[in-house]
Amino acid sequence: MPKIKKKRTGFVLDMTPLVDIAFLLLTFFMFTAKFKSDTENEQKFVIERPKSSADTSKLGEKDLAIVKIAIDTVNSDTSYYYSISNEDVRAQVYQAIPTIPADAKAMIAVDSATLDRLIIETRLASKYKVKFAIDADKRIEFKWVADLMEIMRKYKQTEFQFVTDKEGGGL
Amino acid sequence: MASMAPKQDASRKRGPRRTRRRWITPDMTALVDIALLLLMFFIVSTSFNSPVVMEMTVPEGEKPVPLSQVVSVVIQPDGLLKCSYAEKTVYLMPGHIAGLVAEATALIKDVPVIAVDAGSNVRYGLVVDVLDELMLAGVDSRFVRKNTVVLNNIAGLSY
Repeated sequence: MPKIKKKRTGFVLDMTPLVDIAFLLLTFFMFTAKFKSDTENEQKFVIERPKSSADTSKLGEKDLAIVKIAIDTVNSDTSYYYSISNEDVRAQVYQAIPTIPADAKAMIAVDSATLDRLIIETRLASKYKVKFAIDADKRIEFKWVADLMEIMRKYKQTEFQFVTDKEGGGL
Repeated sequence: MASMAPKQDASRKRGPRRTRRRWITPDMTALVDIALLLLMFFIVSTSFNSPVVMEMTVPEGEKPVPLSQVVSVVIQPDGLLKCSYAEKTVYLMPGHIAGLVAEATALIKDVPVIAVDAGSNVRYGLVVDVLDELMLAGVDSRFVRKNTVVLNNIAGLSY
């Protein structure tokens, strides 16, 4: 007599905890993800920031004016780039300076004379609330930074920040 | 709630129906596939090294500093540091600033003022490296002036 074969059943694994954790992580990463801003999308250069290990404070986002000194990837010219995070202040500043076209983007390439005007106008428009940060490529000559610091000093903007990358990366 | 009770009773009377009682198991495979795909995307695309900042200050006016207090560190374009203090001059490779600060603090009776001087053709990265090392060596307030960065050791403004 043939044995009665027990019907095989595919084994079932309880995936519920796995899926729970996966969704938890998914929501976490979705909320913490920071997408490239318009300013970052427009820029035609990559800044190789100098490394520092002493300071750990993060770069702010609100009421920040960033002066970037970068080397263009195409023609390898060094230039100043200026951006203000606060849109109201930005609109006011752009209006105050006639050399800036009306359709200027969030970040503009400027010469040192325009930069001079931009810094004082930003100070005035924001009622001295905007913080300044210098985000310079480590390969540039120091004179670019020194000239900028001299402009800042002229307008009594005595405090500013150097943007650097943390040594060794990490969180 | 009370008005609901007779209705419930009526449904009970019809008797249990097997098909209704059965556990509903929708096929979650597709959903979970997409969820995991998105999860992987977000994990891979997240960058964790956000930029950090070094706080800098420039002096509004100028104050003279007695020469005996000054430790001058001249950054040369090749990266060598020419350090002059207490009537002597030494050449240092980057990475030996902590020793210099310790020695200068011992030699100079007053509060030493470390003046970092970078020529206009020095790479910016070198300057930041030196500033970073000085900060690690315990030099705190940073006063930057034109091509000269004056770092004030210990306390009080001296520039």
